[in-house]
Amino acid sequence: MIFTDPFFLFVFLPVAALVFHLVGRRYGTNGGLATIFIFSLLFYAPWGAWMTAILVASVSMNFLCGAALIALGDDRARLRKMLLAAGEVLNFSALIWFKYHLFAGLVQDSSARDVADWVVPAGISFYTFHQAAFLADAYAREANAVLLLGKLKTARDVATGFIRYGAFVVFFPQLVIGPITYVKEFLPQVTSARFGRIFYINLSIGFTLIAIGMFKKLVLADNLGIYSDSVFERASMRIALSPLESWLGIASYYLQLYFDFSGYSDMALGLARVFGLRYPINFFSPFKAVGIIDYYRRWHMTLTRVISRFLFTPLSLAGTRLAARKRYSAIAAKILGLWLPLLINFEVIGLWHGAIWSFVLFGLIHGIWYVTETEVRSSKRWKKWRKTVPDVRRAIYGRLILLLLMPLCFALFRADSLSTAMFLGQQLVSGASVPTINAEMQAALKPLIAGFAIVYLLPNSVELLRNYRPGILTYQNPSYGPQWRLRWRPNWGWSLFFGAIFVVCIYYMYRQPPFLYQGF
Amino acid sequence: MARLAKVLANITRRPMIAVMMAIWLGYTVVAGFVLAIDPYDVYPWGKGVSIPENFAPFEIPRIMRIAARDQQTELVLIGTSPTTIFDQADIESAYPGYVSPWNVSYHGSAVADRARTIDQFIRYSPAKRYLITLDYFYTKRAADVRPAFPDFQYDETPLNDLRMVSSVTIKAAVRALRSGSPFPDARATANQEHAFRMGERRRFQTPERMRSLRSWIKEYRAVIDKPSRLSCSDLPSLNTLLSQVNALTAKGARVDVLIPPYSPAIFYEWAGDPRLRRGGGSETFLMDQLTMRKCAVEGISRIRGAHIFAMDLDVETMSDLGNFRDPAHMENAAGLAKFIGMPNHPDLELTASNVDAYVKRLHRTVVDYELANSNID
Repeated sequence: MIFTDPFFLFVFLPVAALVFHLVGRRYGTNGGLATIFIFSLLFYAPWGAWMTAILVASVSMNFLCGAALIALGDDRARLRKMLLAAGEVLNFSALIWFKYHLFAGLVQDSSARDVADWVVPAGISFYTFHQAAFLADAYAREANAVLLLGKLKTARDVATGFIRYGAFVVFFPQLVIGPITYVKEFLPQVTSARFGRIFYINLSIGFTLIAIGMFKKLVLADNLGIYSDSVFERASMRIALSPLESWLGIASYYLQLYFDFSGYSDMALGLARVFGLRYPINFFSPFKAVGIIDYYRRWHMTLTRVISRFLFTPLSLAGTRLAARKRYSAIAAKILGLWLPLLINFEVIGLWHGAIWSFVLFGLIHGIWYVTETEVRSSKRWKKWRKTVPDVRRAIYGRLILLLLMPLCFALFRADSLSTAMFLGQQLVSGASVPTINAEMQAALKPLIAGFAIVYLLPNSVELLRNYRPGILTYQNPSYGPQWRLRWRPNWGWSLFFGAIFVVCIYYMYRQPPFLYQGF
Repeated sequence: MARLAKVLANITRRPMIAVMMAIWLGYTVVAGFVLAIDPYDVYPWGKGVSIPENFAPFEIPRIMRIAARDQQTELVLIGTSPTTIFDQADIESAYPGYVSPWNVSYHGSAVADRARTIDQFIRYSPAKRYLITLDYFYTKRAADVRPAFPDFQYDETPLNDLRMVSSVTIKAAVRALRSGSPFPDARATANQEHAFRMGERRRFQTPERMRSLRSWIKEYRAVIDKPSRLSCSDLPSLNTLLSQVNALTAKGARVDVLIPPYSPAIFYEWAGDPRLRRGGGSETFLMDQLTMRKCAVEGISRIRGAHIFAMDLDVETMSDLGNFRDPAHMENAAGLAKFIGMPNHPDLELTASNVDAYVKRLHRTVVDYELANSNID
């Protein structure tokens, strides 16, 4: 099932919420979590029996591994370390096997991604990261991880622990495309006395976020997708495009991807909130960022933090320690402790999307860009210049650089091959003569202008609902752009407004293109 | 009264719940209306709808079950774009003994769509004869239906049936309730189809298109018959079709499989056009097709009551691209009459005994092909 499916919205969700409320009120936390677990498996089941079996097997394996890591005493440190390594290796080898056994894609530069689309179990990237993080927490005996599983002394304890863990991993709002959540964010909420019941304020916030997410996906992203698909399709056929068409196509995709993915994330936050849970925020106006460092604190934030925790930080520490131990020069220490970890970090993010050269190049460009910006910002010249230029002007420069370069990176991301991306790149500067604005382009212009206006002029969903804390802040980010006094309240005005937005979305519900990140 | 006032007061205090409940209720009523009227006769309770003659093939995918449940029909043509051009009169004149024929061909029909379609006829239709086209997509392994095909109308699960509710189906339900037919003015949709074909022809019959075809013929002639790696067991789509033909004949129907008349240029186009190469085209396209056709003939010849026909060896008609709106779609009137009436020409039947000679001749025809276009040359 996907979030925009009418069956999901009008049948599955009301039934799940009602059962959750009835069971949770009577049986408390465990009853609520059992309901979540069962409904989440039902949500996943339409993807197929074997995919569901793989999910359940993965959850079971990680549960056993996590339970063993917690149960084993400190005197078995070596065994615990081996167990953690085995669990993580199993998790990531399953991910690599399913996603990258088509490594041939790198050599053939062909349609490996198409093939991957139908063999990769839905959400495997996300539930693998989710569980990998849990195992690390279990190894560290993080208090919440220990509490989540419970004592596990009797068969009933084990069943209860399994359901609690299962609900944490497979909770349907975040199962397929995230946000990737830590157990410390989940457990305190489900052990609260308020959990297991539906509250009006949570429903109001939840429905508002669902309406915002649906509008982003069904109205903005899917309409922008019509034009971007057409441009990228023509590029893949090597049909000459004018520079204007090429730029519009690239800009359309840039916005489409943002609205699609952030729309999903808003819906995920809203759905979780219906069940009384606050989940981590994944997007915070990334296009308003003033540089790539700022950008990655605002784009797919839960992936950034998990990669940074498990990859960048250990690599950086290891590099810094090695440099200190071997007494390398300052520049060598910087390469080992910062540059190389950053490059590896972004290459992994690139490859996480799939094993094709355009993703490799995407990761490499972002890595180099990030390293360059880090160095520039720490240079004396920058610090001196910073004092002479007002913040507003500096932010505008930063945004302009981002607006020029980031869409080009995402064109690389969207193109079906490296050669298509190169072809499109040529068309940007030396394409066919400028065409008259045709009907297709006109149709693209409206959502494009509306999209950029929404991105740059309006508050994001978190800012709009900030009085009600719609999600957990992953990073503390300042709000940019016009500081409107718009603040959502659960009153008639806002309810009617978002009700109207919801009705507009229903009009487009007959189209059911999948969310773009479902392919990853 | 006091209770009602209390409920109203509660609602006023919870505006978002009231709005969402209203939307849920509204949607449920509209969805209930569409599903109850059942404008495409999907459910057992459908009131039965009438279909105007000569409506556009664009509308066909939604009415498969209506056609399959038509108890009057004796002949059904199931195909893709090359056969959308035939109307009821064309079929009746080629097969005078058969009443109320249906043509359920539509543009861009994927192999998987057709499998779903044939399945509807196996289940519901009393037709005595079927004409099924065997296009080049039967070499494909993928079994996806095309994105716009309303699979939710024909699959087994009721979980996705709400996707049927859209502005189009709401209008169709209202029309079905008022006039008995879910479709708008038949003439308007027929004109739409005519305009589509004319547009395609105009875009194809240009010196530029002929130049690019000539360049591909020149470039790929030496490799156009690169050996195929396919064998009959690598053709799941074809094997599905054969089992469906078997099921139809088991019901007592006669099945004629028609290989659409393609220009030899199509084999070069699929080898050279980057767009088609991305869709599975390659230098082995010709030999893949010949392998598939041979497997089809062998399979069909084992089914009693089934026959297969091809007219590609009519070199005079096939070689002239002036007869086509593109290499896959013939537009010549005499050629089209021959195409739809192939089963009336026993010399066009392919059998286990003549298939090797047919494959050999077609192979030679393609390898030796020189582009000609009486329209432009």
